Amino acid sequence: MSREKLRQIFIEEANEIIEKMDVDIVNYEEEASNKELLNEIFRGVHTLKGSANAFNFSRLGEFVHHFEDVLDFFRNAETIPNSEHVNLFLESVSVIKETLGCDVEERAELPKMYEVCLQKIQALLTELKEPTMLLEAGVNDVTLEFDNEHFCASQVPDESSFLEQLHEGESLFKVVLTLDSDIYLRGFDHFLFFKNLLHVSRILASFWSMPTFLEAEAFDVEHNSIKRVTLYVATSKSKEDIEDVFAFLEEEEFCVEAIAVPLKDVNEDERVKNDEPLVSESSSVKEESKSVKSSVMTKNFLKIDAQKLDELFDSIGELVIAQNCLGENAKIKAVQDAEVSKTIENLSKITRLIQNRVMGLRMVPIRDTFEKMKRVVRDSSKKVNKPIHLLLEGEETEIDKTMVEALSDPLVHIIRNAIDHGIESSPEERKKAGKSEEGNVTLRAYHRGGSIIIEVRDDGRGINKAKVYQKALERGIIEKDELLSDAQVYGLIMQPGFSTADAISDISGRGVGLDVVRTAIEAVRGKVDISSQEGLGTTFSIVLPLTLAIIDGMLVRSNEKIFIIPTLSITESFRPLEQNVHMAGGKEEFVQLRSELLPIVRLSRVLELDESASLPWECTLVCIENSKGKFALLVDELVGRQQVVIKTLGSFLAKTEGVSGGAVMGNGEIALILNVEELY
Amino acid sequence: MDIDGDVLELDIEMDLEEVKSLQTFVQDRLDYIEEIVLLRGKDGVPTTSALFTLLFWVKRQKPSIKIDFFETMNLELEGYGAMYWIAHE
Repeated sequence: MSREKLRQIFIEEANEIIEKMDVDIVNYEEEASNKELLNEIFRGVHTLKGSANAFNFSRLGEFVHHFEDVLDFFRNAETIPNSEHVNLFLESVSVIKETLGCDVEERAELPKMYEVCLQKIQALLTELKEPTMLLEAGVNDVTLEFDNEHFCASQVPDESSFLEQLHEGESLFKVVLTLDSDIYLRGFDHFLFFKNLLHVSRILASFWSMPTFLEAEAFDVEHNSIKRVTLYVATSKSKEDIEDVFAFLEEEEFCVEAIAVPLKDVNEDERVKNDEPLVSESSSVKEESKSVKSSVMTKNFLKIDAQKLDELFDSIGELVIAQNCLGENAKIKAVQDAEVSKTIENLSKITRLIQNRVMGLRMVPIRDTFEKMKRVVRDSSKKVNKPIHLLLEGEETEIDKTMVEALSDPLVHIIRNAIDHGIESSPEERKKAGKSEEGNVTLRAYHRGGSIIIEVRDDGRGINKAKVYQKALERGIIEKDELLSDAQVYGLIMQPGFSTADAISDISGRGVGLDVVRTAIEAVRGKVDISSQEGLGTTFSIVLPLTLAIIDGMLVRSNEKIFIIPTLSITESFRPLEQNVHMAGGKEEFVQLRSELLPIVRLSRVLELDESASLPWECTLVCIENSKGKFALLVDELVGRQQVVIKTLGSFLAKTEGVSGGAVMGNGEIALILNVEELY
Repeated sequence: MDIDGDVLELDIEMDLEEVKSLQTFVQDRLDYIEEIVLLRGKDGVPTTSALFTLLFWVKRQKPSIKIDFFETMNLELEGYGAMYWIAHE
């Protein structure tokens, strides 16, 4: 495999790790004592670090390296991260995400927050890590104490950096000296032990816990007031050899501890994955057998290039078409043979089975997308200072992977909008309305018919219909006295430039958001419905087709040609009575459907097929709902309902108004798929 | 040990006896010493930790005093590796 290909795989995996990290950290915040989750986050970061350095993503590697140290501290310590620490973790993930982007695009500049965040991490490390004396003694850094900016805390290294300094065959030891105050009188000195340590090891660094409150009068230089000195030494000798250096000290005055052995082989990553500490070289054999076992277990999954999957899916589409052609073939139909009929029927069943299974390969649970929204809710909630509880339902619902990518941004915007505008301004306001202080946002996914519905529901103040109507009027979106249904009024908030927010906030209310949401959802052949009850809340329902490659279509005939209307946008079809059809201005036609008056749109006229006007009561009207409202599409007749494989039109036809694609019918003919948004 | 105007120059290798003398010397002249410079030869390493305790004490008594190793963080010692300082109460 070429290096470029490996690089692509790394980038893809890195993105997956980062996304998972984001979700895991938000979950971890809810149960900060969950060490397993912390280990999971650590493993992701560790993998990212290794791969980043291997592919020369040095800036990413550098940042992740420090982030890993922080996580490593917490997973090995009793200390539980507080909310500020978690904030820093999330901030770090954002920086990692952006840094990856910079490295991928080989941009020279770094993300704005890179340095700031790195400094925060390093400061936190200084506070937390070795010299743990800092914590134990409840102390300040010398820098702060003496207000000396050159005494830079960020330069304090960590254990992993000492590991990197080891030569082949060397081990790292940590030596802690807690010498009594009388050591000078006993003829000892810290530096005497330093000198003796040089006979058996190399001293890499030492950390001195210095007193800052030395009484002016009582201070006696002959009395040791250095509470503790920690050294990191590298040696190929044993622990006992080091301990011998301190043979003349009391047992409680020194401590020698092996930090790690320099196992610089391929087992390292596996060991970290297994979350097992480095103990000794002899354990590497066991590690090896474990890693083999682990790799066998993970082979249940196979990573496949999405493009190959698309190609397979296209081929299945062709197979479906060929199978339909076979079923529709007049000559074959004419053969009155039970065996032939049975074989064709079997072929049809098997084709459908293969089609479903291949479709299934593209389907992923919506859980990951939902989990990502936790961060959105968390950040938005903090930003507008409203306590929000997020409830997830139906995370198991499966959705086409392509759709997941298209869904993410609209969902983020709807959620932000719900928190910013939907939920009441303050807990007090909610209490007055008889609600809990905490606002509730529910994300729910489920199947309905051949569609997937994703709901974002809030229990906020609901949409003020009158205000929306008035605003739309002021902006010229609607005309005075225009009669609109509730759904149409709510739909106005997704019109370009519409915003009822009194003040533009940082997270939404820019007046472009919901319009973008609608456009994005429609781009994947979906739609957004809004329902609301003033005082009780609002629900945004995103209705999506199961897949982007196949649609459930209604086949209609107009001027001897077959067209396909996505059933998602059809509400009903009917043949009108003559008395229910009205004319306005001698040209515009309307049909009375129960209490509604719908404009009649002649398909043959929109597509310029024929100018002759057949009588509506002799034709069929298909009631269609698009973002502008309902209308009745006049066609000659309904042919049937069928799942069709969508084929894109060539660049020459791609911009044909009223048409979004094509499909090959069972008889081999091409039928055009109508774009209902452009018909009226 | 050498004093040049308000700058006190110290040898990093001074032993405990010298540090004891230094304490007495500095205590009496703390008001006008403005800077302490730590001198060391190419392979020079400290002999006693008492020297650093004393320097911390001096800094505590007169925070405005300039002590070069606080300023420069130049504590990368040839044989003893890097030295880092953490203050405690």
